[in-house]
Amino acid sequence: MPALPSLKSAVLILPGTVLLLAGCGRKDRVEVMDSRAPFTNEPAPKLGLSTAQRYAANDAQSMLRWTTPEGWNFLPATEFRHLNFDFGPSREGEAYLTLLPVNGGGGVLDNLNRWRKQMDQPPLTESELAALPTKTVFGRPVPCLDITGTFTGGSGPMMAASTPKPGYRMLGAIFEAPGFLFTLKLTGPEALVAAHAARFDAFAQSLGVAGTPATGQ
Amino acid sequence: MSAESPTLSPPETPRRRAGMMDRILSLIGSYHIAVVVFLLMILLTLLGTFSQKTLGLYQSLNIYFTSWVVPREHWLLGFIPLPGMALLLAVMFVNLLAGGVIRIRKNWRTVGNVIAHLSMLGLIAAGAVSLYYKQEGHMRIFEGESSNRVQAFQDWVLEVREAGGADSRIYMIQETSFRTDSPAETTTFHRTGWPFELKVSGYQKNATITTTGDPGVLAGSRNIDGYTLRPLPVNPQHEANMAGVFLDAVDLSGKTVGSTLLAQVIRSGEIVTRADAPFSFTVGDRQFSVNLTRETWEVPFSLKLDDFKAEYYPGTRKAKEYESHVTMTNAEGKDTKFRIWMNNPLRDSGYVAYQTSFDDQSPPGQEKYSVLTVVKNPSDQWPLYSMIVATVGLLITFLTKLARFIRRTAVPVTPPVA
Repeated sequence: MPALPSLKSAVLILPGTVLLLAGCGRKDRVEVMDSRAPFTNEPAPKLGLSTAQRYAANDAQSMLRWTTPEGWNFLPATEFRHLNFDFGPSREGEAYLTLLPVNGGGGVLDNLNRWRKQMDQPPLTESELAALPTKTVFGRPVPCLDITGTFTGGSGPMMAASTPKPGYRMLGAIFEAPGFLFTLKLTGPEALVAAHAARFDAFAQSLGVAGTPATGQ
Repeated sequence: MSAESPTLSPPETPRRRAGMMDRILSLIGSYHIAVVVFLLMILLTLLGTFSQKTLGLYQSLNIYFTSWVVPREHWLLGFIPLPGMALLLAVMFVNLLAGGVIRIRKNWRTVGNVIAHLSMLGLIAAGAVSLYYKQEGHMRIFEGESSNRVQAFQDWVLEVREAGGADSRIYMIQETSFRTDSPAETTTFHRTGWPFELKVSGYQKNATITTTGDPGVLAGSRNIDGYTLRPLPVNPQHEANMAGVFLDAVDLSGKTVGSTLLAQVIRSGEIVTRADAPFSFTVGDRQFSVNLTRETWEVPFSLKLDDFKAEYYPGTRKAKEYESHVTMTNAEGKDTKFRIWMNNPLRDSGYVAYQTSFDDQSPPGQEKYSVLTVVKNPSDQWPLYSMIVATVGLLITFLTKLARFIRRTAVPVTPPVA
């Protein structure tokens, strides 16, 4: 009769099995087998949405299409920075887009003058506003600011003033669209802003309505 | 043995085979194995209990109590492999069956023991059936509304569907299939009839979607249209974790036809699940979508929350008593009213529904809701039956021993005459 393993060796079966099973790794190629029928009244999913539309942190991100300039960091949105970026070696440059409800955040001139005050500049009159240079945003001419001086603004349009920062430059554009006031603003050290001014223009021109094709500007 | 005989060993006989079978049963039904299994069970119970402090209940259950082998990163001292409780219970089942039911001497004195052993086998079988076939999730019902959908508490699932295709079924990829130890690992999913494969990578147990400039993003994170995954600390409460992955759809020629990231978005502290806004891609003239969601299923009845009541301890928000009054409508349209209250679940049609959570503090205009845990477990009542059987077996054993004791003490023993 062939010898069977002793009881002591039988006890070894357990650790042996453990080692054998431990050697079984997870599969990196799997055939999908599980399925279910659609539920009663299950709504059809919305297809063709962009990543921004699916994961927008606010209405601006879901409504808009834009191209983030090279070298800009796309930051999480805040209450008043619906598209929020920074740039520069120490990320000291800031750029953001804010959508304010019309009549809720003042008009174009009010906001431009608030920005001018942040750069220690006197307010503009309506006629001076009309004489400002323009950029094309959403296919329309939009009055723009380009101010160099001491920046005393805080982080965000509604924020308290921060420590004065001499040698700063501000680029800005504000325009009204049905129901909204769009504000585009970029601030930073003068040399850094000079290096990013063209990218700011490109960003402004890349803005469009989500789901519509880019104009290739 | 003669020189002419070609046979080198004795021929197999029924008695010989019976002897070998007895040796095998003796081996697998031995006390040695039982003792080792019990010691390992004690060790696993200790490790699993202590680990709950850091890993949480669900993780500890998965690592020590429902696994066949404890995952490598939790081995004893880092290098001693440990069996999982599932393996130990399987060994115990075989050991008990061989030693405590088949091999045990069977007479009126051991009847109780055999019955008690059978009840233990029933308990182990109940655990196995529960482990593999139990479905558990929650159903949130607003007052006055009804629901027949149950959502899983724990794991996430990728749902893949074709828009307008001949196959309307929704294919599901469980989190256990794409859960990896390292975000660098990729798992490829395929199916006959699909003109693409899905490559899932960058798995994070708990993550949210953020923008690539978020300082909380790991260096080198993938950039999908300016968005990426931000890992969040893993919550010991597993149900609080939100899985996140990157996904590439690749056609059968190997060309990437779409890439995305899938996770939940947190807006103003609130988790926003866009179940209606999946990632979609096109292969040829066929359009597909993929979404990451909690697994959801329908039950063959609906529950309507007629009323919810809660009573609190004075001066606290701690519930003293709470009850949901529901109407169950089965597949035939028959309505049955139930009252679900503390320690008194609804049991019907193989399902159990018990109160898990509720909200009765909604502002005016918003309805109160009740959250019921809905469980379908084919072995739900087996532990009860097993314990009744165990009680019978032990009673027989104890009564038999009592009877023998009484008989012995009633009849004086006469010393043998030399």
